[in-house]
Amino acid sequence: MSFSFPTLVRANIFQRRTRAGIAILAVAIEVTAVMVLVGLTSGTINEVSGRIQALGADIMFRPAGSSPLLGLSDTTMPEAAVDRLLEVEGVDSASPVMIWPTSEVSGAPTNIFGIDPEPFERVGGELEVLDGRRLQDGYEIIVDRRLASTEGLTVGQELEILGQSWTIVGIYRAGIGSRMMVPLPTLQEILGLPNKTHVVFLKVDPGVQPRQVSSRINSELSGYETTLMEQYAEVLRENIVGLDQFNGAISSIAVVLSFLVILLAMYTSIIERTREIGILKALGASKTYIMHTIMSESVLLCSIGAAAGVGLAYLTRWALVSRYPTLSVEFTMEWMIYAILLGLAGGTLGAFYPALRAARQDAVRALRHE
Amino acid sequence: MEQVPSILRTVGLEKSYDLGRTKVRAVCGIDLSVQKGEFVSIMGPSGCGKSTLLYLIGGMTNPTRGSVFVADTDITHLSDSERTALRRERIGFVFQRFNLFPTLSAEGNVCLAQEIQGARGRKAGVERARELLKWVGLGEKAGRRPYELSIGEQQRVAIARALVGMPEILLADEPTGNLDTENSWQIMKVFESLNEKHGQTILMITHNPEIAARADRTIHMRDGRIVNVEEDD
Repeated sequence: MSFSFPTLVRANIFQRRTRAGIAILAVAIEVTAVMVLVGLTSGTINEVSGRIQALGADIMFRPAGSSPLLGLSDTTMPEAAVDRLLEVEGVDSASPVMIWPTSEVSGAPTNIFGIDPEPFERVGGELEVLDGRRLQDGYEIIVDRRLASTEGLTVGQELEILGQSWTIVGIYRAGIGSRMMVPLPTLQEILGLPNKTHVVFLKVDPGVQPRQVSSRINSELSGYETTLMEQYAEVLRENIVGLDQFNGAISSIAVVLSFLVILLAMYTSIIERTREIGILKALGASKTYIMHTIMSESVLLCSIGAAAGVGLAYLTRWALVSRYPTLSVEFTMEWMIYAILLGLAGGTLGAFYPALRAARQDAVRALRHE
Repeated sequence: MEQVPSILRTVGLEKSYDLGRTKVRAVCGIDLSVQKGEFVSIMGPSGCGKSTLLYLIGGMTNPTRGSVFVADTDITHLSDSERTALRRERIGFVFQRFNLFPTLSAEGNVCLAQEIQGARGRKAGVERARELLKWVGLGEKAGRRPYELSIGEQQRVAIARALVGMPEILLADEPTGNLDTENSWQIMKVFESLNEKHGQTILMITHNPEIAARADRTIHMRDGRIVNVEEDD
């Protein structure tokens, strides 16, 4: 049988609008949930890793056992490690960075980098100041343009962070390191961690392979770990515990949701249409035709739901980013197709039992059904 | 006189239902033969097994005992799918309650039957549906939904739908049972025209003796049995 929607399918959907609407909405929510949640995790990872990689450093050096997810680890190391690193063959420059997460500015968690501007720029983190000036010392803070524009921050404005009042002295081009940066010694003092640092970013000598320098560091300095910056995005993904499980759980919930809603919708529809099924049987409709009709109705509902879900996902992303501009939600074609397929799969599976039940109904009993 | 072959024959046909602990014998040993082109009416009180007999003949349900022959095929030996195919290809049903799909227009209802028959080509299907509707006098109302038609018109749509596959046997279960006198006679005219002009074999259940008298033969049933057969003079 060629796949075409039987005559009754369209008529049924229009006739039972509420039921059809609920089924469509359920599939749409499922597709939206998968796209937005996966898009949010992957967008955040890509955005963070992109900013860190944009520092221009070749290697990230950190205490062993600390998380490569910046801002999630309390483990520090002596700032003096910088001097030892500079002695390693192939290391050109090193920049210690303290990292502290805060939600005090935008509402969404954002890392503050405590930096020493000179070495920071030497490793490649060239901060292009668009307004104001560079960091110097004391309670000065610079913010990136994205945060400044979304929060309406201007040079000279005071910001209350970590119980202190900071003066915005500059606004720099977004996309490098963090959205806010303060002088390293000031952050160390506030956190009560003088002469400590969370990570050190390293630049290797021109023409030297970062991998070789990384191996050298690992052999010369024990108790530390190195991460090649070119692999940072991958390392981030590997270190976000349960990311795959999270995506798997979202997908499973999505399939179960659309399965149950379509199952319920189609099952009640079959009960409601018992007599119609009897008429179809009297007219000589085969089991295949009846199943085809029910399944087609479900496929059509799920397809409309999936299309609506994609639209709803874009709308949700727009709403989220409008409300929290620093959030990053990235949709990939791969996950979009996956989300649509999940919706269709759940719906098709959900319609299978009702369709089978309809096809197996006793013709006479169905015809006599009131 | 030339012997006309039987298009339909039942032999010792029985159908029992289990109703809780009680066994209900709806049809008890019916032997019946209907010739090709014959118009037969079936009368009897409610619950005497008329509809069950029709459903057995139409292959909608299997008998407890006995056989149903459509032409030379014993349909009781066919599988469910084969009986469905036989119904689709050789038998047409008309019901007392019309049983039209309310979501479809008159034309849509007829096209649906064509779709079930496996007809391909939407344009040809629509043309055929219009042709049939025109034949039953509803050419101008093809686009109307059942609720926009009178009950007589609805039954005519149901007849047009039953005729889609040009069935050898038309089974009508009280087709005038829900109609007033005028509409009943209009439906009868359609049946008579079908029978006389096209040689359509019709087996029709009715409670109305005047309508039954229009058939070639009237079978009277009681308690699942044939108790009398009246031939048309």
